[in-house]
This record gives sequence, C-alpha cells and structure tokens, in this order.
Amino acid sequence: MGEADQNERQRKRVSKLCRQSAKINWIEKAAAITAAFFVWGICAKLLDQKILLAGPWDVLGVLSTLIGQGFFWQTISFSLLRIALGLVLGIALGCVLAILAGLHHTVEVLLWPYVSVIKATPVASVIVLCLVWFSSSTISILISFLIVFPIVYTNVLSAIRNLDPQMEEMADVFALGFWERLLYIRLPQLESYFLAALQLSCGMAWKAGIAAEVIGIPARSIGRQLYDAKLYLATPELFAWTFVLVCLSVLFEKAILQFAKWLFALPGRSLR
Amino acid sequence: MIQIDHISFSYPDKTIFHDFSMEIGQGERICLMGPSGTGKTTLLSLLTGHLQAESGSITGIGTCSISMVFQDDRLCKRASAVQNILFGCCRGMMPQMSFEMLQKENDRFSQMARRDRVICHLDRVDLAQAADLPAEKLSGGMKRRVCLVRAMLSESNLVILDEPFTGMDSAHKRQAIDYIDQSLCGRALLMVSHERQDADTLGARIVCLS
Repeated sequence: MGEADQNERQRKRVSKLCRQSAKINWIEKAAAITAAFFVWGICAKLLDQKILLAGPWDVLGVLSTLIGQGFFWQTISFSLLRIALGLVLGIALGCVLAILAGLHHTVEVLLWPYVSVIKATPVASVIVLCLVWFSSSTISILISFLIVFPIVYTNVLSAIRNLDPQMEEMADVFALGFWERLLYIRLPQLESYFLAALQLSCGMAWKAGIAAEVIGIPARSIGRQLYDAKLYLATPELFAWTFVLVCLSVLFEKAILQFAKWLFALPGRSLR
Repeated sequence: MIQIDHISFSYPDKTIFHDFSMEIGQGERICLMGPSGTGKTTLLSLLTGHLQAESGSITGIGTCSISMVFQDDRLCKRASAVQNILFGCCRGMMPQMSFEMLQKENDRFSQMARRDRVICHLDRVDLAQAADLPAEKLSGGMKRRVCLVRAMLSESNLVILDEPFTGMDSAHKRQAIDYIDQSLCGRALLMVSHERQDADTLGARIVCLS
C-alpha cells in the first residue's frame, strides 16, 4: 500500500502544480469581474450617454425590475427550453450517426455532403431559409440543432476512428463482453472528444439560437426582447438582456458539462 | 499443442520471419529471447491472431484459449485492479490452486467468491491493499502485477507473458516468478524476457530469435 500511497501523493503534487500554473482561481476571477465592472462604469460615466453605453447601475436597475416580472421568467424559459431541445437533439443524432458512420463507411460517405453543407453554410442563411420553411417559434430549436449536430458528429467520429486498437486486441484475447468493452474500454476513450464537442456546442447553440430569435422574432423570446430594445433604443434593457444571456450561457454550459462528466464517471464509480 | 510451420512475415520495411518453425507442447514452458526488433512480440501477435502470416501455418491455436500480459499494460484505467482482473476472467477462472485451497475451503464461484479469489491472488504479488484502486492510480510496477494476475487467473491453456517483469523491483520480481511458477497448473507458458535467469528459474526452454 506504501507504493500506492506514494504514487497517489506524487500524482496530487503534480496535479496541484499544474492547477497552480494553468488555472485562474475563483478569487482571481471575482477580482477580474469587479475590475471589468469598474472599467465599464468609468467608460459609461465618461461618455455620459445612456443611449450609447448604459452603465452597470442602469443595467442592474433594469434587471431588478425585470426579475420581479412573470414575463421575464416566461421569456427565459421559452428560449432556454428551445435551445436546450435543439442541443439535446443535435447531441443525440450526432452521436447515433457518428457511431453508424464509424461502423459503416457507406454511412459516412452518404452523410458527408449533408455534414459538409451544414458546416459550411453561414448561420444567417440557414436562419432565413428556416424561416421560409418553419414557424418562428421553432427556429431556435432548428438552428441550435444545426449548429450542434456537425460538431458532435465530427468529434465523436474522430474519437471512434482513434479508438486504441491495442485495447481492442486485449478485449479479444480475454473475450470481453459487449458491455465491458463499451463501458470500460470505449467510453473512456470517447470522453475527451465528447466533452470538447459539448463545451463548444453549448456556447455556439446559445449564440446561434438567440441570433435566430433576433431574426425570426418569435413572441416571448429573449431574441424578441433584444430586438425590441434595439428598436426602441432602450440600451439599458439591451444590456440587461445581454447580461442575462451571458449568465444563462455560462450556467447552462457548466450544468451540461457537469452532468456529462458525472455520466462518464458512473461506470468507474459503480466498480469501487 | 501448437505447431508453427514454416511461417514468413514481413513489415513493409523489414522481413521478420522467413520459414520459421516452432512447437509449443502441452504444459511446456518456453522463453523467447533475442535483441529488440527480432520479432518476439510479432510472434505473439501472430499467435493471438492479430497479425496474419504471409505463408506457412499455425495449427492448434484455434482450439487453444490464451491469456496474456501485453508489453504495455492495457488496463481499463477507470476500473479497479479487481475489476480489471475479473474482466479478464470472462471465460472463467482457473480451477482452485493449491495455495487457495489453504485459504478458502468452500468456493461457490459466486460474485463474492470470485472477488475473494482475485484478492487472494493479488495478495500473492503484494497488491491486496491496492485491490480497489482504479488502474490509473497504480504505479508502473503495480500495473504489471495486476496484468500478471489477470493472465494467470484467467482460464486458458496457453499463458503468454511479454516482458512481464518490466518496472518491478527485485523483491517483487522474485515474488512474481514464484507466483507464475505456482499458478501455471500444467498450462503452457510462452514468455518474452531479456534475462536468461528468468527462464532458468521457471525451468523454461529458451528459444533465441535473431
């Protein structure tokens, strides 16, 4: 056990050193955010034109009014649910088709034109095209799906292509069953690719989904609120909704990533 | 048991085997020796079926089940030492061995008994207390010993060990050699090693590749 303890201590020491050198801790983050607010406040004060640059206090004032209103939460739920639905559909279909493409080269060839077109087409063109075909209330689902799908598909397919053949050889020699191979050999190898895709997808889905709402202006959506704020030159509202969007995007990404990490850790946890 | 008849095998830039023959008898212990790059690991891959000979034949391998220590560890990093060994025993575990009989009278092959058996074997190589640690937290030498237990405990008639003592200190290596000797139970052994003493201690016939 001494050897294991020593090994564990060494691992912790190295990971602590890596953390110290690579990551920004929460105190540093809080200080940086405070400084950014301070700079923002000074700029707004110097410019002194709310219509061009609303200050942090103006935005906080608008936010405190919005939070107390029912429509604020309805608006957030509308956009959040639709973007989340698009994200989930994109992840599910991206994974399923990547697995099929990884197993059968013909599927990969047949999907190649669709994936290439989706990847290459500018989001604005897709939004306008989708508005021709579908109602504006479903636009954010479609757009977030179309943004997420190629990212997840490409990453999961790369992961499948890069599965370690030596581990497969080991599984063959010891006649491992399907579930053992999947849970303990293949999934751990897919994890880093999938999490990278997920991290990228979450941010992109929010940006594209809201952009679609701004163009499609469905009722009771965040995009509609941004559009209206711009239309009536209500800059503090515009900033307040943008602030809400940034917070939602960060929380959404963190929640999804934590859930995915928890899912990937399940097989290992069940063994101990 | 296994007959390798006049096989030839080449990589794109190098011929490894030309008209090579060898026989592995039932319960025979063989140690493959030779400088790096002479095809020791390639021969093992030909036996496991992951490489195909260009000509010649390998007979008897189809009816033979193999357990193996690979040159690299090939453990599931998230799974514990015990679980990695249990995966390797999908086909089943070797029947009771003498040293286990002393420790456990009534093995009913239940999941718990299987775990007990694995821990008993891990104890033979001084790893019982690391049984539930995930493989990614084990040191190089500890991983080799987990691989060794996996290969020895898995039901097979041919045990292949590709440089099994890499990363082990001398005390653990001696322990591992004793463990192999006691756990073979009449199975054939094909081991790759760079030290003649390992072969002599295990009473293995030396086959030199050059």
